[in-house]
Amino acid sequence: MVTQLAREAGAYVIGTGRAADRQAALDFGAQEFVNLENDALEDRGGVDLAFDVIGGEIGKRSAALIRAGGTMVSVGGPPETRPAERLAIDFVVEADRAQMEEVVQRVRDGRLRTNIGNVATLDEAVAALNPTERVTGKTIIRIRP
Amino acid sequence: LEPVWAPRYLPIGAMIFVVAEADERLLVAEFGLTDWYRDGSLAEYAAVETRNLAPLPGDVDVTVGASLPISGLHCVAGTLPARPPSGGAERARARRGRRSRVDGDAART
Repeated sequence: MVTQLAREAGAYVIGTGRAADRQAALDFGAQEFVNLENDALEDRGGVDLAFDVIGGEIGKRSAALIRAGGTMVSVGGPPETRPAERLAIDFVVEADRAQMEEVVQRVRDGRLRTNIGNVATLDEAVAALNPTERVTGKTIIRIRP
Repeated sequence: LEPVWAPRYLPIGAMIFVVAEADERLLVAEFGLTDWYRDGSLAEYAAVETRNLAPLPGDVDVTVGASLPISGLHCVAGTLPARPPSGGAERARARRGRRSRVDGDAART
């Protein structure tokens, strides 16, 4: 979703993740993809904005690639590394009616696609939320079939 | 703003659904989020402040709606150039001509 928004804003987007994520990232608009298991992040050069939901070592390496004046956004906790002359943003998202309406309007317009993986019933919820295999896409629990 | 009990929000015509996140926190909403800091999000009923909800248009499937709040709010707040929400995050401003990197699980964001 963030890839789509960044592309719409005119940014050149490089997605990262596991090899299995490559096609999904490209399908959602990333112009390049870095396989974190095999490729070197540093080979792609500096970026102006990094949006990190992983943290840890990947977060540190991401922070190191941000150009002067750039921004690191992390949603998994404060960045462990904050290079000088870069802005670091970490936040806990809050409900905002205007933003939610903005998001859903983009979905209606076809400007934003969501990534739904598994849709489970309430009876299946515990297993669905504790998968034994990696699930791509969001898990949705339907209370009523 | 008066809180509402989620199931009683049904009369406006929207289904109640649950957004399930990886941390197993269950967020009950029409379309929106409960207060992160409120106890009882796993209860059968949850009080939700109306300001935390937005109508889900009838032409948007509830399954799609359930997938939007967490990801959508994170992404909008984290990337788009606009005023920050009151008390919320400053936005990072993805712009034309800039290079952005997106790390992580496409399922989450």
